[in-house]
Amino acid sequence: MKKIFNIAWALPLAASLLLASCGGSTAMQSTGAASSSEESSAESEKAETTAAAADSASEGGSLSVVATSKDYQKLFDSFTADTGIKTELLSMSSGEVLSKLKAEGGTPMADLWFGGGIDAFMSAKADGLLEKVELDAAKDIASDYKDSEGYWYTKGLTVVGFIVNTEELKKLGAPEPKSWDDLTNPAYKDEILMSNPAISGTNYGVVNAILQKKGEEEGWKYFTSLNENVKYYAKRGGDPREKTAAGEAAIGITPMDKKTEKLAEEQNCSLVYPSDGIPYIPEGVAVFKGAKNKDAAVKFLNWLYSSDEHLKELAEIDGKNTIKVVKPNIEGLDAGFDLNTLMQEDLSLFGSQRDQILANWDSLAGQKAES
Amino acid sequence: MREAIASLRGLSMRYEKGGRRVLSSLFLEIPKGRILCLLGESGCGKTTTLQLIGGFLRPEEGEIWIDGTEISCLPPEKRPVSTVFQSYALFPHMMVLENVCYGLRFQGIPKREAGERGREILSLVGLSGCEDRLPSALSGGQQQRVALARALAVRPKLLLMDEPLSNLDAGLRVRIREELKELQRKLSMSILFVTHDQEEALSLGDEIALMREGGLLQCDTPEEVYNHPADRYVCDFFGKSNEIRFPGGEGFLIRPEKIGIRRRGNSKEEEGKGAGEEIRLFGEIQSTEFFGFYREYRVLSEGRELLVRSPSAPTLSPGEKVTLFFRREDSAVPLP
Amino acid sequence: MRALLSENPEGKRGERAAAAALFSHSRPDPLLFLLLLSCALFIAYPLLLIFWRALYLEGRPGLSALPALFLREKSSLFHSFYTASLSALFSTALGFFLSLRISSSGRRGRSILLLLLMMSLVSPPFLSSLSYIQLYGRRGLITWHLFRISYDPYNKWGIIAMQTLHFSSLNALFLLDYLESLDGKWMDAARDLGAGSMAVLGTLLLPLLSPALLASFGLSFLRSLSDFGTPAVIGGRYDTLASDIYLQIIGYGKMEKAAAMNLFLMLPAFLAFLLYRRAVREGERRNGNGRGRERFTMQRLSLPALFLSFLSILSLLYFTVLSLQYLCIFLLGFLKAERGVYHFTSEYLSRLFRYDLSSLLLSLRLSLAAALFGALFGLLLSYYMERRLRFGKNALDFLISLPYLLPGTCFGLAYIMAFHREPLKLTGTSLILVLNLIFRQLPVVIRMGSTALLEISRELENAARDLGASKRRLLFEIILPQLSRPFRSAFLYLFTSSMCSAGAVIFLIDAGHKIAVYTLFDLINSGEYGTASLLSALMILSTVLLSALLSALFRCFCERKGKGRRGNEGSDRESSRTVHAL
Repeated sequence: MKKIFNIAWALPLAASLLLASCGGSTAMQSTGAASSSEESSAESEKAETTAAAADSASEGGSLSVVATSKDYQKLFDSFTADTGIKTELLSMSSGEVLSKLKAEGGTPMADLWFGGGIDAFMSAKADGLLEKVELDAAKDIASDYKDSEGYWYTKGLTVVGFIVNTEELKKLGAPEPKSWDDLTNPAYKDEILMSNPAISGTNYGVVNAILQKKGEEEGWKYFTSLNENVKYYAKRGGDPREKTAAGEAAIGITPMDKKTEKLAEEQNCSLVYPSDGIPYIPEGVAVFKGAKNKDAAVKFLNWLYSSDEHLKELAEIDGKNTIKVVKPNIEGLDAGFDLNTLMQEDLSLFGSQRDQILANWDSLAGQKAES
Repeated sequence: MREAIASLRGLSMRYEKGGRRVLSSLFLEIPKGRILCLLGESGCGKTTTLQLIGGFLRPEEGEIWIDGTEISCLPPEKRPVSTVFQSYALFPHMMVLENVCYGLRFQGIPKREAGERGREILSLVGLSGCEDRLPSALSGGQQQRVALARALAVRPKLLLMDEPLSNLDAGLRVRIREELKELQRKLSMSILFVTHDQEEALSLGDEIALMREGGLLQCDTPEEVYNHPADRYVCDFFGKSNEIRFPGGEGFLIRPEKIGIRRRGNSKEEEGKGAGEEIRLFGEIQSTEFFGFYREYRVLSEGRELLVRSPSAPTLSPGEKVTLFFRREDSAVPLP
Repeated sequence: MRALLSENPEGKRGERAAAAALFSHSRPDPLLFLLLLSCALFIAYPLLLIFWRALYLEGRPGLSALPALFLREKSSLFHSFYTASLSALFSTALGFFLSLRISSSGRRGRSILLLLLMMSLVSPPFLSSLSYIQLYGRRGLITWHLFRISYDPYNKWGIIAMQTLHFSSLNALFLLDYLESLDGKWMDAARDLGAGSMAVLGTLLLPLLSPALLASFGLSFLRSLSDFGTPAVIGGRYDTLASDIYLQIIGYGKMEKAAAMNLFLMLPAFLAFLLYRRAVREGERRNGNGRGRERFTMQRLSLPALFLSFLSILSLLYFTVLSLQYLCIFLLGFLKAERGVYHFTSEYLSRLFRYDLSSLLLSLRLSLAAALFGALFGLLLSYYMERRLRFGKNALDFLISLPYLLPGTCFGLAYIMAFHREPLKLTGTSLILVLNLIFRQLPVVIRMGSTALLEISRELENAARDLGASKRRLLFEIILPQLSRPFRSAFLYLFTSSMCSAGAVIFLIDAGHKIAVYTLFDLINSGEYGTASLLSALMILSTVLLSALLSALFRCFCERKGKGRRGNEGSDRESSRTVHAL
């Protein structure tokens, strides 16, 4: 009787030991298998290719990626199909990645950093957290959009504009804003949504760009008056457009891409590219220093940039064609808006000013506390 | 005819529908100014009766009258009875005085007066000086007294006590019993006292009501119940007895202490029952036990073993031939 | 027994010394050493690291920057305090009324209500707040579509409402259990002495319940302080310290500042914790050991109809709101609004199955592992603490409770800082997740263990030793089998809380170990509320189902071994009591 009891204890114990220890590897394998099986179920033609590629690939290998959205899985699945390297995708905002990097100090959470505001990349480079990478296609990339020393590259630009809920505006009886300066109109009090630039790299870009355009003093004055109209600073990047479309606010400062367009269309909102300048922020790609699968990461980057087709796939997912700005000799892509309306930005300042701007931001935005 | 403070008429009670009857048509008169002991083994319904009077249960049938008013529709808080519970149920977070005075606020008595009354009662039960203590700091006997004081403070018409002494050790039990009797006499309280201990009932009660399986077997003074029990069960409940049957039909139930015992002399003594009062038997002592103020003998007489109790001297030993004698009228219950 | 009931701390210490003396002449137990080492490594070391970082606010060690930071953060601290107080107050009151209502219910109504309450304990983070907006926001289904009220929900009242809703269920369960462990005879005595049922409620029941009410308040206060998810979603501009810390870590990357702010949070947290502990001790002291007691329910008191109706209406409202929340979460997964019109879609369902199911499986696996090891470890540790530790028990107790006091984000950060380098490199494994989950909830398990151990008489151990059992045999053959009930409660508790805990996880994630909560978080961040709702619904369903399954298994297992002691009611009560135990 006692023996049975002891065995009864021992069995689940042993089982769980196995579980927990294998947890890591099995998770990777299972999710890796899942992603490849998903892909094969979705596109049956590629199924054979997967099998063929797996057979023909020299070694399997794996690659873990941190990206800004899970939508990129498709792109990485293509990569897996072509090279047999299994990928694992984790989605995280650039601010979060940076913080984690700093906390982890040298043992990064993934191999490849794919997407996110360039300011974070610059900051990471300054802290020595990125790996230097020589890309074959580097010469095709415009000089503004790659690090001179090869620590980071760019995969496109995020441009920022407004999404406006026409119904809510009508209720307010206010006109549709056409420019950044319009936003300080007291009629919009508590009706504007914006993401916290500490978390959202895109919005950080907005702040930096406007500061550059207006100059320090005027710039901060602008933000102080804008602050009056902001309902609150969302702690999540997608909030402004979601909430504006849902009618919780009248105006949302949002990245402009296919997703935003779709949302606007579905919910009767309009999109505005501000007339006094469109801020843009390049989205970086880089390899983490100390990455386990550094070679696989570099392989991916080469795979991406060396082929226009792959870049177009990327553009498809992103829902914007700004890659054209990055790699001007890409064929068959059109940016979709007048590039001249982009604000003039000295991108080199993006990284170095990050801490200071965020600090100022902290004291500014924190002032209007609710009673 | 003594006056009744309360009367139970035809009380019946079942715990579950279709379950067995816990009380079957109970009729009982509770005398005023006296202690009535409700006695019986567990499950006989005595605690249920108490709870019915207290108002914690509703009877299926029957009426409960207290001092001329039928109260079975009243909730507990409106009934002029109060209870001392077996576990005392003292409010643990209140001091002794607060416990005792608790019920007084519902009678509209102002705080100061209530406090005075509380102190008065506490001194009556011998607990002056304990007013500020918490129940957990008191001994069992002290807690019991606080419970009593609390129930007395509201001046109930009838005091119900649910085996209040069963948690105390023997010596304390006896002492408190005596104090209770004195208190009752002093205050002329009407008490319904539930117990399973027949010794307690005999000593404490002015009257004893023996219950069994939801019914009343006998309600009488202790002497009557002991010497003239209504039936065999009652008889056995209060003590041992010897069943002696003679061929020819006559039978007796004799308590051990009512049988005399002496050495059988050589003189011719007649065994047997005479027409007179005394009945004689011959026997031989099998064993004997010493109890301090009496001796117990087991005597074999004509095939039956009889238990005899006798004052200690003179001492008789096993193996001795003896004569046993008793009077006809001492038979507890004339057997058919 | 008297010694246990008295307030004499010397007495307790003396008892422990006596117990430990039983083992004093044997060698120090390697198992004890292992347990203590684990505590040092996985609790003390990471926490020390974090607080060490707090001193580096100005780049060099020193406390000088702290006051300035405090002044800057004081409005957030005040906000935290304010919402925590109100949430604790409302949720305790609501829990109290709910417990009264449940206790007054008949058997069937009671089972249903209890079931609903227990299910609502499983609550994945964030989704509740989202459905709050969905229902009561400016375009909320209730406020707008039903009542045409345009209400802006992004303020402190939203936070308070959500926290109240969420904390009330646990408070109700706890208060119910305490209420019914009171001696029914007290209420009888009060009525006997002339108190009507409402008077009994006011003059007797409330004072008797006061330790439990205070304990509920303290615990709810603590939970509110460390909650960052709710303010992050519906706080709007109202910053609480917890959401500020989150922002500092996730956004600004200022570890030192975050660590210092955690220190500030510790103050009210610690006070609330003391209040809680004190109240629980007082409650236990008063209630004694509950022997020879009749089970008490409010039915015994027959409350007046008016009050009963009030309770019923309140409870109805509560359960309606609660059900709406869950319904909303569930429905959001299938509804999509286009041009203001909702229609059904299975779009989210397909997304879910394509991408996110694996994270759910991983969550389940890890939670089970955490539950098993955590329960074992916790119970062993509680045994050693109660019986074998000669000194330092209080200090150890305090240490173990620290991770619970701090927000989850803080503990997760501490783990990263502690374990990202050789030789203790644990980042990137599932082990770090499991460990974090275990040690965060450890104090609860310890408490469950100690409570159960109180009922195991020391004489049992004496008897076993007397008959020749060695220490090891004593532990495994006598003590542990007796602890099967707290094991079950601890297991289930750890399982459910691991599935739903967000704070630390956000930090410890890496690409190879995405668990469901993180995926949820991510989906919400990307604005994919539909898929998030579905995932959340799945999480709730799987957790509830698995818990029920495990619970039945345990019961079956224990009964087969001939341990069928108390009936179902008893074990339900105990699990709900111990769920709140800390």
